[in-house]
Amino acid sequence: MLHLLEALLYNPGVPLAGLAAKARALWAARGLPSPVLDLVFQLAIAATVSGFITVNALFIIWFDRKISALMQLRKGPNRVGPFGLLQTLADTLKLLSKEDINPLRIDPLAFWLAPLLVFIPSFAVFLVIPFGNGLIAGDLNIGILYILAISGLSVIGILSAGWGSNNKYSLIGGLRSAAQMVSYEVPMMLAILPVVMLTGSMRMGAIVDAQAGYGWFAFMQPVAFVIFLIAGNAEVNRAPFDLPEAESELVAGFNTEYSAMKFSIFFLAEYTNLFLTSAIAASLFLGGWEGPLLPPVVWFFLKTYFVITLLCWARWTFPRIRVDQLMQFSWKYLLPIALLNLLVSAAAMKLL
Amino acid sequence: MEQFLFYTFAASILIAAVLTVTVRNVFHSALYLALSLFGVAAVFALLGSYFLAGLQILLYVGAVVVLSIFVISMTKHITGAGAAGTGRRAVPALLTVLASGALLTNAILRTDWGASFAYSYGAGTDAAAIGSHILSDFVIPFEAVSVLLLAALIGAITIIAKDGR
Repeated sequence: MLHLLEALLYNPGVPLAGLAAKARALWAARGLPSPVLDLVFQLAIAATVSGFITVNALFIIWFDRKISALMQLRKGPNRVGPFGLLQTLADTLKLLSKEDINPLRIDPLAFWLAPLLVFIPSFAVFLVIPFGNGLIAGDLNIGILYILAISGLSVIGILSAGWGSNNKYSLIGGLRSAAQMVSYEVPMMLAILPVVMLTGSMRMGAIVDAQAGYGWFAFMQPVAFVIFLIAGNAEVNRAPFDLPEAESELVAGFNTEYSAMKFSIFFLAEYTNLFLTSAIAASLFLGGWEGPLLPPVVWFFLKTYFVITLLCWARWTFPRIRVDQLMQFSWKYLLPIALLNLLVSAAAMKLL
Repeated sequence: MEQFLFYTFAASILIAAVLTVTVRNVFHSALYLALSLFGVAAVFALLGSYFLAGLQILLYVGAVVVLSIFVISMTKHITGAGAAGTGRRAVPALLTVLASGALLTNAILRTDWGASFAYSYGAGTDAAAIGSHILSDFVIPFEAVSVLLLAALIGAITIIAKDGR
């Protein structure tokens, strides 16, 4: 029993695969066809991921609020449950029981599709996140390219939310968000490229393996790491880059007209994206699940929550920047620095 | 299973493509275009060309469609009400469709599908193979395309900055 527990903690890929194989053999013996079994297992993985996303987002929202309280010398949520931990659960139940309002003269297709188009990409990215040794749903050989391609799809969702709501604030918020996400995707990709060049592979597992023994890419590529953090923060539309939903000028941007369940899906997607950006930063630059003594999964979460803390710190410290400053910062500063970093890295790799 | 998936994706590509040009709402048209291009990526993935599938989503769905939606959002708000078709350019449109259809049919008929199928299932379409092909066998077309894109970019900037700014 203890042996199994240790194996599950330190090398979970092997016992989990063994369990899955045993279950498969058991059901195959009873005459279930292989495609049905595949579907059942994939659905089981998807259900696990959805459960994880929900619980984790509830925790991150609490964590973010506690950090903001710490920075502003407040107490933060402290009424529901121990340390206010159940506050977000109560808020979620409240959101779910609210009326789902559909404003007049919306574009129904765009309005209804938008929350799904925003949430499904963040859900799909979990496929290639390496949680631990062998604990990765599908180690695609285009891992990081898959992440960039799929997460770029959520822009379409935000634009359709802005367009479908038939509201000028929503439309401006959606347009701002799209411009911002497209602009910051470019330096982000250029910051990831040196890591791919150093590894020689886009597979997430290979990128983590390449950093074994404290060869973290954050030390070798400090500039790329900082650029990735800034661009990642802009991609998730959080302060100081929260112009798409700037409350003081745009009401709430693209989700102004959304209420109840649809709004909570946007909210869930935002915090899931925060977790994903931090998890990708931890995997690409901080050695992923590698670490001494503690189980790999614990290391993965420690590093991810370290990056989340950094991003929350930035959110509650910096004021929101202006639209023109936002665009100038991406195209006139981040992009040239990222290009220069790429050039220097390539030259260094060729010469050394 | 693979055949079932292929026919599903092929049907969604074709249906979405037809809807793209037949729906009256421009925004819906862009959404169907995204679905159609996504289906092409799914077929690439089904053929084992994951790199091409990733690029298809990144460049076509993530960039081209997003830019067109961006431009559509700048137009006069036409939610709900469809733009009326005039049919004034029916003859040039028909000629363009026939010409590009003839070109594509010609290309499809001339391609040796067995060879290209074997090629895409091997290591022929992974990132490293495509990269070395582009920078060795196809370096001149590649550079020509780069210069063309640069020229288009400079041209666009010139048109925008006409008022001397």
